[in-house]
Amino acid sequence: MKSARKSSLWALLLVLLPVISLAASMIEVDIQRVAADGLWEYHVHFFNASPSRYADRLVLTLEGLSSPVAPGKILQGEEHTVVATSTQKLDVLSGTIRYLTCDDQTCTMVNEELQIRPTVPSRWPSWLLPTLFFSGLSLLCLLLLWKIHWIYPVLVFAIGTLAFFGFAANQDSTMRSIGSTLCISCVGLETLPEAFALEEDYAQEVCDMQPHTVEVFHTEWCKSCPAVVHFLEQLVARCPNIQLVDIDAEKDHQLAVEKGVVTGGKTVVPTVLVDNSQRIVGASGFPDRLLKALKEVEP
Amino acid sequence: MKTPNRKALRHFTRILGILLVFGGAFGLANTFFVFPGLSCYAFPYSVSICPMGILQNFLSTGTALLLPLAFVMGLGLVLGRGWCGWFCPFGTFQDILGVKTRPGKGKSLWWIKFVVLALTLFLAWLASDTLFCKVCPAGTLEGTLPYLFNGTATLNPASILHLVTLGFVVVMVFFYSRFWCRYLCPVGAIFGIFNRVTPLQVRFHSDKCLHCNRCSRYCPQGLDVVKEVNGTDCIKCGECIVCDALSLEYRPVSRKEGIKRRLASSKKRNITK
Repeated sequence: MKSARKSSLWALLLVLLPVISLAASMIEVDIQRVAADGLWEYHVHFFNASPSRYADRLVLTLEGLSSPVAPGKILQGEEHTVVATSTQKLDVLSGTIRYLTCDDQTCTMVNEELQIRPTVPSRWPSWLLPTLFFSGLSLLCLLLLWKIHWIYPVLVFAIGTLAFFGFAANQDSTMRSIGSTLCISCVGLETLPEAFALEEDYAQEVCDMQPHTVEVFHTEWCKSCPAVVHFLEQLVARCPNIQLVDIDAEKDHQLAVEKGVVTGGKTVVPTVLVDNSQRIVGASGFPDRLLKALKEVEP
Repeated sequence: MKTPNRKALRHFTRILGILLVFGGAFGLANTFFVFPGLSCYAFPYSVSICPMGILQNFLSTGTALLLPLAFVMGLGLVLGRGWCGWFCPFGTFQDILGVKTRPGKGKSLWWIKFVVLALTLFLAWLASDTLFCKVCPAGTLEGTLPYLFNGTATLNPASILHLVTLGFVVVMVFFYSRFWCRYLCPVGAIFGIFNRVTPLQVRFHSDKCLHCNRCSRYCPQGLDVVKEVNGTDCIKCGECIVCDALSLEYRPVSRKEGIKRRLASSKKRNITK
């Protein structure tokens, strides 16, 4: 039985890990959309998931809503609902959330952009599905326990719980998007570049050229993209003849497919297109390759 | 199960594993399913997600490990390291290369893969980057090499490092069969935790054993089969089944027998020389 105890310790450790990491996540926001006399009501629901930190001076600004939503202070594990109205029926709400996350001694400022799809209130009570799921799971575990070693029900219950909360947190779509993006530096196809400095001679040479369009494709997961995008932004601020088009290859997937940024089901980022003809893939030695491409398209 | 059938079935499942890697070539779209083995999702045709890649990615962005962990635990519960022996394409790759390699001994360094696993996860959290992927030989095979051929990647320090790690594994496979699985694979380490619990077991009938130790000569993991079958390093491939004393079966541990009983222990052997 000693080794059974060891196995159960491992199982316990695996269950504890996500609980610990859950504690790190902070404010959760979801919005329900309700029709009310020619107006649309948006019930903004805040939840502080952290057991140890409280949120203070919380302000949520959403486009399309007249005034910002400000519930102020939310203590550990507390919920808060605020109602905002709008004349428009919005399918995606985008905006920013700002708050201080504090423990007894220190506070840190959080400032994040977010996009939320409002849900329509369902006819079934929200507790019904989880209750059915977990009672079914518990029943299955009890049945298993009847005949076989107790480690199986424990594991089945742990896996079921993790999967339930994983799907509830939309982790399936996160996983899919990670899987379908090839961040070139992530598999070590090139060294992760530091930020590129814009030199005076370089900028002068580019500014003297004819007008050109530079399209840059990047994604949220890409680790070498920020250096490229930042460099291009610097260059554009300096040279008015260069027009920069900034494209999130995940959000504008169709465009990425059309421009050949997606090969064999994989989105390859960072990819830079100069005047739709010259292609620069990856970030290593980017400034030199950009200059070469610009010289190629120069009449 | 009779021996020829088992071998044919194992060839079949391993081909399925390779086909799953090429899923995108058959028009399948990307899914959120975790691949049961080490297979890089940077591969142009991949449709499922590398378990190590997703764990590191989640840790590096500070996301709670819910669904990835559920997948990894579920896969571990179903077959344990049986995935390594019956499905993993990188294991098949090593089997093909090491077809002439004598298994050889060398169990003493088995714990290195747990160090690799712990370091991988800790460094992903610490550095907010998927550092293991930058040296992973499966990443070379499925990420670096295809992209070098189609011109997306160039030779640079990072891709050369990748080629070096794959080269190292390939060379070592000629000395130790399944070198990567035996000593270094972190996915094998995770599945190894579930190895005594999973219903897939190589059963050892001690009363039928003649102690000739012929079985150990066939084990690709270099185990002393009678002592270590079903342990953390056993990949349940069934290569050791050369006599009636060993058989492969799929049966959960019952309430009465402890999990320890599944390990064929040397103490319980009745040695008569």
